[in-house]
Amino acid sequence: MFWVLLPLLGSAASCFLIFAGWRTDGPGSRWFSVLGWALAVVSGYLWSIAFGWEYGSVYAFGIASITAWLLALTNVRVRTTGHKDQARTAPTIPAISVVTQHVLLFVLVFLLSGASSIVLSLSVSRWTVVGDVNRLALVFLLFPAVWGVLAYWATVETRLIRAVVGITALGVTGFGLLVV
Amino acid sequence: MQTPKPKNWFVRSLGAHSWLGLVVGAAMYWICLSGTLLVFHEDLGRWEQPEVDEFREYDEAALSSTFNTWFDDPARVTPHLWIILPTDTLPRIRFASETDSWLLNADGTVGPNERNAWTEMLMDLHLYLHLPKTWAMVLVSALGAMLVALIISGFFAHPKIIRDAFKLRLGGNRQLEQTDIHNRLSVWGAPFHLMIAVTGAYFGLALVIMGLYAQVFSDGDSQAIVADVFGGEPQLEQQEGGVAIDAALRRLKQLAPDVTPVLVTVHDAGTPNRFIEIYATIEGRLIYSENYVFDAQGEYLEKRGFSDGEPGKQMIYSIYRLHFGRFGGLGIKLLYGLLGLAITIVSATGINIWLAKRRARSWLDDLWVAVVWGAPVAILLSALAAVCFGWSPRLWFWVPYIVATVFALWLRDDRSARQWLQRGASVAALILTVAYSVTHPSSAVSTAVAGSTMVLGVMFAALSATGGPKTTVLTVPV
Repeated sequence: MFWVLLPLLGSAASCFLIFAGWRTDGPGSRWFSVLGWALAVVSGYLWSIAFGWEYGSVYAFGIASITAWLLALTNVRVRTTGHKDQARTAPTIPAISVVTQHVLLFVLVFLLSGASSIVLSLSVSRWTVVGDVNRLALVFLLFPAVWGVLAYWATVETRLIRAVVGITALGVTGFGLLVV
Repeated sequence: MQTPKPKNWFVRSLGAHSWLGLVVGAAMYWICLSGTLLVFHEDLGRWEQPEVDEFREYDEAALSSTFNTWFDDPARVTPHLWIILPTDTLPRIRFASETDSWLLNADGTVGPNERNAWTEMLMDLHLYLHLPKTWAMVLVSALGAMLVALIISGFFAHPKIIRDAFKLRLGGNRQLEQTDIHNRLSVWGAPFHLMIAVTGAYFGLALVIMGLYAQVFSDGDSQAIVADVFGGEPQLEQQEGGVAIDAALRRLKQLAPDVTPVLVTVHDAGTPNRFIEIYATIEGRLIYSENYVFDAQGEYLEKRGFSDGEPGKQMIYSIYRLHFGRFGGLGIKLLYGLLGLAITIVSATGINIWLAKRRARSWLDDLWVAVVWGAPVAILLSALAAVCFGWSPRLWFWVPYIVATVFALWLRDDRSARQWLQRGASVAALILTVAYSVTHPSSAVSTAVAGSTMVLGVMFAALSATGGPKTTVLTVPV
């Protein structure tokens, strides 16, 4: 029981210190925050002692999230003013060019970025990791992250063509690194 | 004419976040909602069929004998057969073939077929969105990657992430309220959401990637790659007959006394090459199991090495439990349930923010209310239909959902539609409580369930009673 309570209290206290740092004005606030984050690291270690690092990591992050939400709940401000009525209107039909742009972006985000991310992940794993199973595991870990980054790039880029060229170039480079 | 994108990185990231969120919005909501419920998969299965005998202890020799007798009938035999052993969270024994599944009685005889059509419907919604499996699993995996993109763009779109870290303003301005709920839940829940995104992307694309990997690294021999990760099949020449599962289980106790067997697979059943694989969990580990292979006589052949093999092997075999929260008992279930509920709310509030920002209301608001609040009604009614009356859960999920959507579009007032759907969910929960108590009387599970569904009904009733700000809806003729 002690080894369950200790990390639990540690996580709760770390969130509370971060919260106190956030609420406090002046020079003390930074110290609360620093202490809070330091305690978060210590309690992560305590969770790993209590449950092993695999379960412990899940508990450490999960409990911290929930504690932070509970602290945010203590900080609720209920407002009764500020609501604006919205008029009911018919949605405007977008121009063909706008629809086309969205369709192209969809293809870029889902298909081109997806294909490039898998090829890139395969080539990165080929050149960095030894052993079939380890390589495969790295691909499984990498491709959603790379796909996410490329999808973000595609949607945040001001000029669609630049994203198309960039993502295609990355895919081609990845393919080149696979076949050499 | 195309509107030029703004130069400010935060604003552009917000635009990217909105675009991605709108594209995946409804699908993400369904996946998150069903995933949250499926954290309690085992409990839901028990709830669907409460009259089954539950027990934790079993006699290995009797189990083995019953298994061999039951599958002596060639009509029941498929290439793979399973015995799902009892655990603390699911104290039942099941025999399963590739086409059927039977529960065992406490006296060791084979009992009724397993009935979990409603839980399976939820699982199909989570994994395939009820679409054709071959391409839907790829689509759902892609949504995992999109969740990564949403997390990245969300952080870049949030310039006041520190200043707003604990701000929660409810009521008043709807956009501000929804933004605060969305941001607080998503920022603090980000580690969990990122883990769910990366592990979720694995399931649908694992085979595709293994195939590509085999093309690049193994001359197209994907079986060799699968064997590397999950283990190959031993080549055996044995006489026809049964399988000595009791001998294998006894041998396992000698080999690894600290592990808990949870599943027995008989591979190549009915052939001279048949062999037994026992899956055993190890306390404190996220790997699905360590697997021990035995021949048909129960002689030990090998260990697969998921617990102490290459790091990659351990990692791949940990993805399932990590994603679905199938470890660590009730504490982890509750944690995953809360974190899953949070990401479901994040999915819903994200679209709410976009709708509120438009400063105008249209049929899109009505449609979104139906998507969000029609889901609890549809889920509860499908449970009622499947669990209490044995009707198709999929039909009773989509028909009420479509009716709810048509109703919301017909009503042309999203606030009223939301209240009506919440009331509908409340009534559905109460009817489910009564119907379940009548159709499954005197079951230990039914009392707990009656309490839970009653609470759910009261919760939806309370939600519909609050109903949000009371304002006059301005109507512009359209």
